[in-house]
Amino acid sequence: MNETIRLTLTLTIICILSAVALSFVYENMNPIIEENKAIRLKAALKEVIPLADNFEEAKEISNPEGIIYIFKGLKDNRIIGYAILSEALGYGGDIKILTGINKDREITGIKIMEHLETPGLGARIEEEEFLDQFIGKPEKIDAITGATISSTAVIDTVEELISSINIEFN
Amino acid sequence: MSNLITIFIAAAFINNFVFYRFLGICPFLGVSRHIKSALSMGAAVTFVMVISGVSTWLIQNHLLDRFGLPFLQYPAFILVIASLVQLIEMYLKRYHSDIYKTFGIYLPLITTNCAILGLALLNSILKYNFTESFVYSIGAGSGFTLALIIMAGIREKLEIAPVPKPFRNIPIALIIAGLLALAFSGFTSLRFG
Amino acid sequence: MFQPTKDFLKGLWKQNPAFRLILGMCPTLAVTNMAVNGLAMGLATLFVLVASGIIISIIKGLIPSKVRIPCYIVIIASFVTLADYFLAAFYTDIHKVLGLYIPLIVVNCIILGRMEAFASKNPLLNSIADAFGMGLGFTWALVLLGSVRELLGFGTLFGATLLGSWYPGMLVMKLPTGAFITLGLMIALMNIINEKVRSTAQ
Repeated sequence: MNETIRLTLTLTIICILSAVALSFVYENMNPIIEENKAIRLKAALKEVIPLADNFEEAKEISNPEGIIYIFKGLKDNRIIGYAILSEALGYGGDIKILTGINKDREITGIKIMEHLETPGLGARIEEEEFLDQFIGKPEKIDAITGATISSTAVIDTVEELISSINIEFN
Repeated sequence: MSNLITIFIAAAFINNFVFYRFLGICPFLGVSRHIKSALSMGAAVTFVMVISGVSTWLIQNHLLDRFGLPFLQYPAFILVIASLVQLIEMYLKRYHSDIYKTFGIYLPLITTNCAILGLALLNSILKYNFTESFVYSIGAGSGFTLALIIMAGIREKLEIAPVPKPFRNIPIALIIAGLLALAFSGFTSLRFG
Repeated sequence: MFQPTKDFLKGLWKQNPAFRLILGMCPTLAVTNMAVNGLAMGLATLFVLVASGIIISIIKGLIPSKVRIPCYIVIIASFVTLADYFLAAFYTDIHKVLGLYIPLIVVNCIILGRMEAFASKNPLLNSIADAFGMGLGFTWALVLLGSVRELLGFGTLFGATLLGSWYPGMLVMKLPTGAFITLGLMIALMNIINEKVRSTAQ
């Protein structure tokens, strides 16, 4: 009995010490991690709505299926664009696409935020050559040879987004 | 239901734990020389995966998330897995000594099998609910067993082949695993709707 | 030779964890698609090895044998959590690439193996030397593997383009198949080198 108590006590003490140490680490590291996330998000938003100087999440718009979040791009406190994060079903999983739209329903910027596509093939959806086609009011966008599924997933999702998104500018 | 089937097929074939995610490589190389031992290890791993997958899911969702303790995930998960393996070993030794003999020395080795911890973490990363985690665990274990059995079948034949000395045992096994990984990558074109 | 020096050196070649002891295979295959990822994983593993080795060597007398494995595991897991948060906070890109494999350092057989075989039975200085040697040995193995795969796969090394734009890149090196085959060939090469060294020594 004595031995069991000693065994349990040792393990428990080590667990408690670890838990305390880790919670301390967490308290100090987590704010930095959250801040980094915010910085990266702001940089991405600026990339897709270059003329904006401030961003606010548009929580009041109800998100239809496939849309993760919508941010308002503001300049001098007026809405000049919206940045929408939508999900496309790619070859290897979900592709998260951030699209910037201005009041003329033109695309001001597009960025692939996350994907699980094959390196060298589907991953080419990140290439400038492909993404530059989306800027403005594109008539027809060419898919990438050898990455048909990945690129058409992006094309279809963005087309759907432009035609169906319900956003206001005033 | 079709969602669960997709999860199973993805775990077992498309995102096979050995050939796609590189999990469980050490036991994969160590125990794949004979089909019989491959089956035993595969069965043991699947068994532990299901039980630990469910247990860690419960701990994640009802303990860690509820009390805001994300930083305790790794120690909590690995402790649970180590304890479970210990308990399973004691239980089998006592009540099902035939199964215990089949699993043999493989059971205690499973604690450090990265596939077990990997499975527990993936359930959390992929945000599966309880049923989905359960199915995912079975799929992952099945895929692992499949990889092991295929490898063992090949390596049994390899015993009587003239392999050059520097390549014997591990190097040739790795090269074969590479070819199998190539074959399995064909599954990625399996799509459902 | 000063004993800790011996303990340090063996991990670099004779008992190199990746190429000779065949331990820690999962991260070796998973994160070596590029040299910098191999370097990061190696250093993270080195950190956990040395930190855990120090603690466990110091308190080895206090841990009863029957419960030693769970105790070691909790200590190792705590340092891995620390490394994980550190990378997430200060090296976010690398953290994203290494992803799932950072927590898997917990079950990297190298660490538990060295704790069990060495740190729990040897004085502090020797344990530090052993952990450092094993960690560095693991790191250079990963960097070598990562460099080969990056060079052949992308034509770059640590991000710097070495082969010109004429090089189309080898897709297979970026995929799991390339990982398995390159590691297999490398271990075979190490075996050949070792055999040569042994036969010339005789």
